[in-house]
Amino acid sequence: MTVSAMAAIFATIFCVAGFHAPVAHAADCGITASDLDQITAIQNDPSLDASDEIKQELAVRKQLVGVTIICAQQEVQVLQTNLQNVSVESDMRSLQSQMMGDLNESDDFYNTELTKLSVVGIAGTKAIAQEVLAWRANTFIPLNEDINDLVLWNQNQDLFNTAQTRMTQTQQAVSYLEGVAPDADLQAAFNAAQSSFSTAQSENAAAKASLLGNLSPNQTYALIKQSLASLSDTYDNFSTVSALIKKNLPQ
Amino acid sequence: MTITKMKLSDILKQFKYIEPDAEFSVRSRTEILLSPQAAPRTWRSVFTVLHMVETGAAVALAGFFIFILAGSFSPTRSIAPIQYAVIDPAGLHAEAQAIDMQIQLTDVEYPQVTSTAATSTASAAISSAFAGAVAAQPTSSVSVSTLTAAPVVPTSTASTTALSVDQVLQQLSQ
Amino acid sequence: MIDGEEEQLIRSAVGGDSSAFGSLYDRYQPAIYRFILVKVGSREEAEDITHHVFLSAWQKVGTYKHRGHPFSSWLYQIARNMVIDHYRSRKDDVSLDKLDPESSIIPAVAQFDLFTKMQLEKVRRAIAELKTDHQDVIILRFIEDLPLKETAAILKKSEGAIKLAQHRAIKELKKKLGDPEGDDNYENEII
Repeated sequence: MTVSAMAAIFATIFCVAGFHAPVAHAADCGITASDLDQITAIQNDPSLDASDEIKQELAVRKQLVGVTIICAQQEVQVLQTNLQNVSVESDMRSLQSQMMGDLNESDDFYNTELTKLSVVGIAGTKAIAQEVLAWRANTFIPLNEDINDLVLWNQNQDLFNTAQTRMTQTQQAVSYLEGVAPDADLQAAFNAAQSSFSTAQSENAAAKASLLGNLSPNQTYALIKQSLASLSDTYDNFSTVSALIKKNLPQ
Repeated sequence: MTITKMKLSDILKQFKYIEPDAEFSVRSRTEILLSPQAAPRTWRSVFTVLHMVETGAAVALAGFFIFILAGSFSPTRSIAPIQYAVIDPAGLHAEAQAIDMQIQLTDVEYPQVTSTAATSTASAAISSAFAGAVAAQPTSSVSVSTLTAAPVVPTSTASTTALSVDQVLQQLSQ
Repeated sequence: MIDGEEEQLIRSAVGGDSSAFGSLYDRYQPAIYRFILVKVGSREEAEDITHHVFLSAWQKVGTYKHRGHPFSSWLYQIARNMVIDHYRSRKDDVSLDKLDPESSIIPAVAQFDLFTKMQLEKVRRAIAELKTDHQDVIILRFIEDLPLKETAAILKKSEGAIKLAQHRAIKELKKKLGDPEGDDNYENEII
């Protein structure tokens, strides 16, 4: 199943209050391989003299680089929206603010490149494309990943809070039942739930520390994913506990 | 008909080939048809009353069952009503599903992006610099070579798949 | 003119049949999307507004009164109003007659060659600079090929008024595309 098809299904399942497109992490500029082939077509066109060939190739290159850079600016705008809309914990607000600043600088960088584009020749368009590509690899993409990590981590806290509430309720029920009808299986299942939840919480805290410590976004992402996996294990254990409690209820 | 009219009318005809994104259409259609409709005005008050009666009956029924269950417990094995929340399988299942959904969404919407392997989803915006680039485009010979009297019908091939920002930059830097 | 099949679909949809409304959605959604896309210029915004047009239509279809016009006339009216609301709700209060320099339909037209895309965008921008009524006439008459009668019903004008509006709209559009006289005898390339 393609990524975009999965995204469509999940968006449908969630059915949020407004109609929201999936969060963007890379932009589609509507430029295709056929568009890029225009350059080769111009270079191979025998009807064009050297001067016309250069003019036409330059025009196409400027258009394509220009459209691509402006499209990349849209990525920045989407990230700005996502970052503004996420509700972050208080100790993350300065990080959020710093990231917004970095996004503004990204936008400025793109504007500078666009200004340069208007006055260069063919070699200049290639140099600009290379410069933007390198800047994106070194600066923008890590920033993009950091922002995604921040948004993702903060979204996950509701799940952790809900799990904490369920853990508390489960503990009350198990404690009571252990007092009236001890069950080794129930106690073991509950211990497993506690253990996996504790692991999930540790990984969640580590992800937060990684974010705040400005460590590698890949590391933060891995910790976030791991914390969700541990949370999922916790709920498997909750299901076992729940089944055992039901079994222990009077018929 | 002058050349100007043909060209403009040809371009305007091309707009008709624009189609919305297929996945958006499926998603939108599904969400709309799953959403509730407003009841017709003449029946609104009736439906409202029926709904109130239905809710009241459900609450009364739940209370009745809780009463019956409580009465059937032996003192040594009864659980306080608040602890029934723990064995609420529907709520537990929903919470577990929410976590699984978030795990899957994490993979789909927040994959780690690399400069050469970026995939594409969202739409782009063009600033006024683009308008300048379009204005700078050579007019006569290039335009004539691509404009025809008959509208150009777009075809779907692999070369019409949109490239990512980084893929385009990679190609244009060479 | 409305065909018998559509009349049946409308009747069913008014009665709450979601499958019938789904068929109407399939029939008209592309045209409504195009109408909105040309006006707002952004694929994302066009998708959002299109969705809300049909959501609103679905929620209100129970009150729809068939008056001999195609169902699409009602949808276009909803779409027109939503586009107006869309601009009103924007924080920077961009006038309907002003162009948002950051919008482009190019991502929505990936299937065309590059120069056709550029031309579509250029014409689209010029259309978006027209008065709202002129935009609507151009889109409905020259892009969607709607008959005069239906266009008049959608825009709530007489057929004579539509004829006059379309003449003025085309003239103004040609002027914006580089024909300063708006003259029918203009021979140079406009794009």
